[in-house]
Amino acid sequence: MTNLTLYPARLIRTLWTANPEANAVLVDGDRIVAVGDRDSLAQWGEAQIDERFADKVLIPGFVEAHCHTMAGGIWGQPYVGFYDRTDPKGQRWEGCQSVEAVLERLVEAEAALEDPTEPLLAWGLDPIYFPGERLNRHHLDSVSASRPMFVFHASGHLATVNTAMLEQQEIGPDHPAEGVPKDDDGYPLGELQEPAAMALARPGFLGILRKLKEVGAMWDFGYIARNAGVTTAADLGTVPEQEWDLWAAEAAHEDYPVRIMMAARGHVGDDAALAQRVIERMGNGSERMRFGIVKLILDGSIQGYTARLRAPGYLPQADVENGLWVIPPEAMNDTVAAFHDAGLTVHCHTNGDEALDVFLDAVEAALAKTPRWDHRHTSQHCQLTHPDQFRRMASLGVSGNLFTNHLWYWGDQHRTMTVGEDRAAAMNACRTALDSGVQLAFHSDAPITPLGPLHTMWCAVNRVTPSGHVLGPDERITPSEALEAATLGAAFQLKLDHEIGSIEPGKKADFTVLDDDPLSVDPMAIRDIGVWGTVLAGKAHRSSR
Amino acid sequence: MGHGACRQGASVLSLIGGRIPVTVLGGYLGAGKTTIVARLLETTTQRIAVLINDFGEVNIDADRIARRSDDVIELTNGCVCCALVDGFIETLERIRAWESPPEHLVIEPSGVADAMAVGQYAHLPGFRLAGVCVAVDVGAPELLEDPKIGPTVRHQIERADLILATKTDLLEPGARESQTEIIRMLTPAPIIRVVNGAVASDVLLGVQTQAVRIDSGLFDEPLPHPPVRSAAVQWRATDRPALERWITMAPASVLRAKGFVPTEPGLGIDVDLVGRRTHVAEIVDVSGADEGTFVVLELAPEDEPDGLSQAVREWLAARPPRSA
Ligand SMILES: [Zn+2]
Ligand SMILES: [Zn+2]
Repeated sequence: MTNLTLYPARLIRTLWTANPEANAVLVDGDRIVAVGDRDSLAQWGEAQIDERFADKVLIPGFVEAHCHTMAGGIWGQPYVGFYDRTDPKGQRWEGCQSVEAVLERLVEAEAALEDPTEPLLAWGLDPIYFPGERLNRHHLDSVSASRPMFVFHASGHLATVNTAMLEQQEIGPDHPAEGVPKDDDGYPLGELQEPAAMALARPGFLGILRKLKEVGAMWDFGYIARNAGVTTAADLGTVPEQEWDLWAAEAAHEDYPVRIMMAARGHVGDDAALAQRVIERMGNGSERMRFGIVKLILDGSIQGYTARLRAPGYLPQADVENGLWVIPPEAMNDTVAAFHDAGLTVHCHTNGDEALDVFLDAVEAALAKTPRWDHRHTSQHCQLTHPDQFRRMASLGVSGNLFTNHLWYWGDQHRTMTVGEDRAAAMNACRTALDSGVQLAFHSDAPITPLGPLHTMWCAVNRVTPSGHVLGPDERITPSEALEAATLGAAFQLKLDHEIGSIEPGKKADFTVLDDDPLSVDPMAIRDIGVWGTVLAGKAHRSSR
Repeated sequence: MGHGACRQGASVLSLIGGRIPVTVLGGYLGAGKTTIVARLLETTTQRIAVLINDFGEVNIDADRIARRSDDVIELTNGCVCCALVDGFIETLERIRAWESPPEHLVIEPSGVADAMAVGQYAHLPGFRLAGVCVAVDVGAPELLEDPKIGPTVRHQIERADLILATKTDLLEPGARESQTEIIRMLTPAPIIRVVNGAVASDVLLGVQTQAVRIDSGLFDEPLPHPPVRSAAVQWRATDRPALERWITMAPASVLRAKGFVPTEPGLGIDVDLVGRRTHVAEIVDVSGADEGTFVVLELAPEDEPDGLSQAVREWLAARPPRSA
């Protein structure tokens, strides 16, 4: 009796240079035994033949090395965002491209609620696309005058509520909190800015937060990953330590569809003690729950004007001196050293070029004090990186996980509103990174942008904005380079490339099953390739799209 | 609460009761925040909970609190990529649910935090913002011009209710004056000189009405350094607009003013001034008291070491008259 299963396929892209293409892969349980020509695999003896992928293209399972697992739970409420998006169940939500469309969606959602006291929550609103009138409480009052409503914006920094919510929570003209803008008569407009103000609408903000912690949210994240063809996803530091066990318990279910790398959040207490706790966790990780990386957040975001920029900074119209530090620059050396010395990998959020300088200084100092090979410290987002910085990253052994989805989602805004044409053309400079010898991956930062490696690849290959502009055409990379970044490249940054990231004997049987070949379709069609689903550790997971 | 009509008692004491006052103590690395907090915990008779670091996930559990005798809690940060996960709110809810809640909450945010923004959490139900104090190392004025950190530090100073000027003892008087002047150009907020972390708790946390002798006139009560004078007045005011106009005319040396002033039967006005920031709200007076108590705290004038300054005396004398 053999346990071997042979999967014939139309094409297999292995990402294993010695045998780059194949038409069959032989799997034993959760492991790959051999890959190659179907006839040549006969030398392994008898195998059950599973024909279900015979007309599909298999690639190594996609690795998303920077997202946030809340990308699942956020679907606990209806979506009112601008772009089309697909929920965990596979239902396509059409984008709401006008204020009227937003209100229509809310009317539908309101009608679906049975309990008249239940607050109506929604997410994904992005007023940047509605340059006319800004959504306020009066708009929402037209949906319901009696049911408290809370519409969470895509940025995560704002919410709009209706009058019923304001009244129920006693957010009146006298309210002393900042972030509660008022109308000419002194009554709150309905917009709540930043978490402290959003939290005043308790059933809204806390309701959403609560849903993120439900067991269903954990599974919804798994489904979103599966639907996008992702077999391993890193949560970059947003699941608090005390919830790791809850996630581990769900991920222990045999049917759980994705491996999760749980990054610990550094610089929030005693870094050395945290490092020890992470090391302990590494010792008892499981098939689908891994530990070993640490997330630091050094600056903010470019579109929020909070990323720290080198001179000349933001465009004058932005009217900001510079962005914000989340960790004091002077504290970075100690923090990076604490994790570096413990043997862990540091993944540092550095959107701006000045922030990256501070991170690289800290890595260099840590290396001078404690020389260490193969640390794989990584700059996350790494969006405004200059050629000199890529060269320095290469010599320090720092990887780059670039936020290529920005090229599409905010590319036009970066040209016209944040950094201007020339630096927008240089954003997420994948070509320069590779030519400089920087080890490369890219990410979605879901739920900031939708989880979807085919889309992040598409952005790196085409660099097209919604207005049809190509941002820095010389920074485009080939589909083949993009595929490597989305699989092996991301696996390397998570220190899992000995297990996953390519289809190679002895590695985990993790595959993404596609309807077409990303290396031979029209590059502009890469993001439209259908995802059948995944194989995770030898077990098939069918997409619900 | 603290806005619109809510059911509150008439006395300052009962106004404070039920809502935990929150002080945010901001300032960049090395400004001496930790020393100030340590000194406060050493000298206070109140049960004070201290949250270290700003917003984010709580990493506390019952057992960790128990091990820390002075209720110092370390917080972990939330996420900036996505402000969604905000454990700070949960922390506050937990503190409010403690079997015996603290009498005061001090938040010591990270050195780069916008302390005033952190203070906005104190407007959540169950809390009130007692003030945002920012510690500034007067001996390190170069920080204000630092290309990386200068804007952050200046922003902290510009938004503070009260400035705690630290390490002034390490400077010659001349340098002390000129460097304090640099801060004064950034903010009209009162600047309080702090030596070895010692700040009167009335300044840092707000007026402790329990400790202040209440009478209908003025009185002086010297407090430990920095020298602070306090006064309590009791009266019944006229209408709210007159009171609001009057409160904004408080002399610059007034650090704090807090109190409840009845206006008409069953109604009154809650007044809170910290530094240059005032908040006035109408509240229901369930006690039916005739007169409310209003406490003023002034940084002692150098030329009048024994009493309130002339300006404050005049200001108090000019308060809106009792209603008919
Ligand atoms: Zn980030
Ligand atoms: Zn992120």
